[in-house]
Amino acid sequence: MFQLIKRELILQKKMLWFGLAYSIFLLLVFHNSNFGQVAYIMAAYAMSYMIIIGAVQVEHKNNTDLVLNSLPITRQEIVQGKYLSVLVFTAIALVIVGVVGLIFHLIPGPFNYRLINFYDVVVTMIAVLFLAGISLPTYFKSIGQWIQVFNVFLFIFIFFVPIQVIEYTVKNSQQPFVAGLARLARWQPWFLSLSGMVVMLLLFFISYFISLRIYLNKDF
Amino acid sequence: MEPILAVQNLSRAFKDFKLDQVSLTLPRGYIMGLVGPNGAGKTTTIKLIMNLIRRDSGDIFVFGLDNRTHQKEIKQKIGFVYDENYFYENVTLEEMKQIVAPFYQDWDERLFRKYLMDFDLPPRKKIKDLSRGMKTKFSLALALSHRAELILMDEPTSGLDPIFRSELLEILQREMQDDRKGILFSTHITSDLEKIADYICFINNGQVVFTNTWDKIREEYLIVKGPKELLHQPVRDLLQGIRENDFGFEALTDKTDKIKSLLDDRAVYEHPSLDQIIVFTGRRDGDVSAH
Repeated sequence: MFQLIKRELILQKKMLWFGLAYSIFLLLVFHNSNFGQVAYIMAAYAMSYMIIIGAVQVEHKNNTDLVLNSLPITRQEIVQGKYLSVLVFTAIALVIVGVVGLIFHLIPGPFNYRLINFYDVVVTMIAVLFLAGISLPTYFKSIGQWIQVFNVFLFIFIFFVPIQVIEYTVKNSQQPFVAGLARLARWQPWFLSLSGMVVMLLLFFISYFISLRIYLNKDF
Repeated sequence: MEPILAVQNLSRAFKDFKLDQVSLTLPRGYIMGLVGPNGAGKTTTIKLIMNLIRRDSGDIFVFGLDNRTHQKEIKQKIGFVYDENYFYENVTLEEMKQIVAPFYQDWDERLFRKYLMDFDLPPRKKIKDLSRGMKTKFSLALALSHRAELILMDEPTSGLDPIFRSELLEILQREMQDDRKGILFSTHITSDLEKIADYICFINNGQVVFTNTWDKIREEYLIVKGPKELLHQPVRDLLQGIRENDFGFEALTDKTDKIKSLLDDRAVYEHPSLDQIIVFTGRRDGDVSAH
């Protein structure tokens, strides 16, 4: 399993550097804007997307399934490796974004951005699990080129969800449903985010079994 | 001794093609050439051996083990070279090695370095910058560096120049000095096989036409040439791929004793090349006379 993740790291190392530059850019641009509250999430999520989907696309383009499946490894391990790599890449993205934020925080100057927090980590995980949970089975199925367009739209949709949620909550704070959620959030601060995390983990597991079923029955 | 590869009644139907009851056996210490025209079923057979596609029926035993239930164990000892490059184009040879090597328990780094030197392959060059021949050499270096016992090669010489093809055949012959090994080599360039193959398996339209040692095949078949008057029905029944022209006929037969007793010295007999056997076996009888 470790070999599979190492393989993805070798393939995506350039993307990691790009992700680093991208997260610096996002934190610089958004530190003082409406997006300020979600800049860590947006940077980590975008970086995770680039690495995860980039790795899948590289394999798709080079038709490397043939070589991969000729190595002493089972199809189940290949699928497991892919899903595990989603978690690893998200963790790497969060660490990179967190370290960039920390450096901005420590350096005296105009970019005194707040430190990354647990909420950023949880919401990023929710977003990435949702994206990967939907995207990965479509790649294992090799549906066609249009799926890449679909995944870009899915990425953009998820990318702007956090800010939309914040804006909606602020504008509609008096509505019973929103007020109820706000009360719940105050009463049990971790309840909403952890519930979201549990739901997305469930989706991720279901997605894994769908991908596994597709891949086990695939001809190369 | 147990054969290194045994394929028994292997079948797989696709929309427009069917691999039908393919059987072949490769003992240790030998090279088998899998020959046939394009689309005959050579790649499908190799993919089934590698468990890359599903089968409808049949069994495959590699090193005496079922290739599905012992997949990982078997693939530790298989080296593969495919007809196209399926590696990551944007990585260097060194990086590709870093991806592949950790999967093999018996990876021999010194041997790999030696092959890179022998094949004149620069480790820092990207795969996309290699020529077709260099890509095949790199595949071969990877295939030979983990002490593989069975080497599967799908059209490794197609599109390569004669010098490289000759080099490749020499490398394979060198490998076969170890009599625990076996090579299954698919190609439609039959002259390559005549040089190195001990066994030939000829596939056409998804079916095995013959499989035997090359020496036996050469003994079994004869090209028969003679005047058209000899072609009466009992003779025709013993011949394959009859070609007739204004001067006479030529055809292939595997009923050598019978045909010689019927035609004696009125016909001319020649031992065929592998290419001729395939061409005569694969074609329908016909008149090619100029009108």
